Amino acid sequence: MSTINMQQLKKSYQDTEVIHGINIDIEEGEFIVLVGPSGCGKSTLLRMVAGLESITSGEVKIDDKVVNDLEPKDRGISMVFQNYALYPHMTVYDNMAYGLKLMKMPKDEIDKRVQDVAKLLQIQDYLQRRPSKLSGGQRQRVAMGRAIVRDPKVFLFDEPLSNLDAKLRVQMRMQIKTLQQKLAVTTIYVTHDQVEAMTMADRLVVLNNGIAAQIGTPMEIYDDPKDQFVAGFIGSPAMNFLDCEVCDESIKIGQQSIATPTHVTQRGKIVLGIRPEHFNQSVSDLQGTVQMIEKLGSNVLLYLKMENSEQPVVIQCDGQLDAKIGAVYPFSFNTEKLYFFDTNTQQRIY
Amino acid sequence: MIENRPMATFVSHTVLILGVALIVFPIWVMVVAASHDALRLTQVPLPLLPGNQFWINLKLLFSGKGFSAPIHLTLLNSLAMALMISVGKIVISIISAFAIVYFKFRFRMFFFWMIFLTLMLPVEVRILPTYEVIANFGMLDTYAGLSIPLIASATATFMFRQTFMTIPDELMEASRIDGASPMRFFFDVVIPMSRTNIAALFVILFIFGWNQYLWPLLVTTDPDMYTVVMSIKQMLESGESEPMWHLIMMTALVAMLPPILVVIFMQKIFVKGLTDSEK
Repeated sequence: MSTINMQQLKKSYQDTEVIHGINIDIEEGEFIVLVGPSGCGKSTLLRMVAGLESITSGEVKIDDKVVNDLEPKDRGISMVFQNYALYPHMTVYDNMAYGLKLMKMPKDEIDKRVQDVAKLLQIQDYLQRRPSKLSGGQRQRVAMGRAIVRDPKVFLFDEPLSNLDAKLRVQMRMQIKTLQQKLAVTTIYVTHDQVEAMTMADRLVVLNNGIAAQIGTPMEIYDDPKDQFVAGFIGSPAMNFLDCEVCDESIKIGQQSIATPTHVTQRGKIVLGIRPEHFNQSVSDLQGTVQMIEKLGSNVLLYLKMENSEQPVVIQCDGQLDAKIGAVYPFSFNTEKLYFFDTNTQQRIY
Repeated sequence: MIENRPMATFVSHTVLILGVALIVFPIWVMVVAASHDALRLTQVPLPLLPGNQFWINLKLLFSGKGFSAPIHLTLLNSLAMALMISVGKIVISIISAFAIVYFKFRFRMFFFWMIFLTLMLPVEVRILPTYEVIANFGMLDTYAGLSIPLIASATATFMFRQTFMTIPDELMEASRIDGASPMRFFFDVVIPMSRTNIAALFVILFIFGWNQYLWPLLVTTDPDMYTVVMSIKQMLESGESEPMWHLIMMTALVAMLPPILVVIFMQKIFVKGLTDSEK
């Protein structure tokens, strides 16, 4: 169990700065997920903690000790890579034992640890096989085993599930989370998949262009996003954004309008955000043309075209809904769940 | 591709058979010549069927009578030279490729291109200065003199560089996290993963070393240091007497054996090394 502190972490390649000063304090045993679109710097940040990437300025502390200049092996971390990075010429056993051998641990101690971890992950049966003879899910577990067997202070995961098929991914997601709770090791987990982020994290760090856009528990971020980027990135299907104009009596969305909520005091152009699950179908002060229908079984996603907006509005409806493409569909917002963002700064106003 | 065109099959087989015949026929002549006595080979037409002197000729050759250098000694010299060249080339080029691929140092690309440039300077081009250097070092008539000037290899360095670049970077990072030093990583991961390439290169380089002719001819004056390929040429210039074709052909036959054995025994790994990508 360890704490990790990042203070004003920056990273530049030659003259381009890719990480612009990040502050995160991670508590003992916490499961932190770094999430963001590709190229936002989340892997770079993780690799800086791992020691695989140099730190341009700022500090990384593990257990209150600055580790900026320590080799990866001396930081007490272990890492699981996206493509597993198992040594192809070694058996599963040797893959897991390699790090321990380099620590000059006695043979019987190594054997005991490897067997224990193999039992924990249920990979005892393939200890003598080569990684190339294993399926994706098995390789994934071996990679985890190699990380666990070192008994690290910190686990680092770099998109470990993105090479697995959808079903296995859900399974492994659960396994990783339960395992982490059992071992209570502080964990940083990188992913671009926001479902993974929401389900696994104790706290989320949403990264955008090398800046921590928001840090908080999954529900905090879902309920109370700080800006338009976070609001759009977290939640599936993604939040709808509509350009509108706020007047004294009503908010105009193209030709249509809704009553202005009392707490909205700013006037003029503004961006309105509403999640697909926050629509009312009983009342109908707005309408749109059905453009596309996605049937997901438990519910149906309707893509509605409103005049004056390029992006269709996505509404999540009951699974029994019967709609036809081209039909006009009436709907209304759940006014308590509206978000408002500044057009220029994209910061949330209300 | 599944096809059934008899004409195409016929043509392709003809081409293949002709190609094989072109290579096999001289070898056949060599085998035949090695199995006749000296007299028969001076008469026209030359025999095309094997005679009965094969074992007698072989015995005669190894008895070493009447030659400047006994065959077992020249074979040994050739073997030593070929092994030193091929092993030396592999050791040096694998280390330099490792440095070029995995370490970031000043003038890295400059050194790489310098190595690459030496491709344009084979032994034949630099033969005089090289001879001068070797002579000044007193390495004439030594194994070192025979092999060291041929040891540096841009081709092998380049091949290993390409191999190393196919090894995923994550493996290097994983081994760093596991606590492996660069050299540990080199021995524990890079070399085992390049095993097949090393074998393939060994075959090529062994044959290259074995077939060296010009350089050994220059640096050896002592008959005890002659290589077998040289000695074939020496036997042709045997003064007033008739060249002993049956023994020359027998020597050539014996000289062919080691490279063939290397190819046969390493063929499996060789093909795997050139085609395989189990990474």
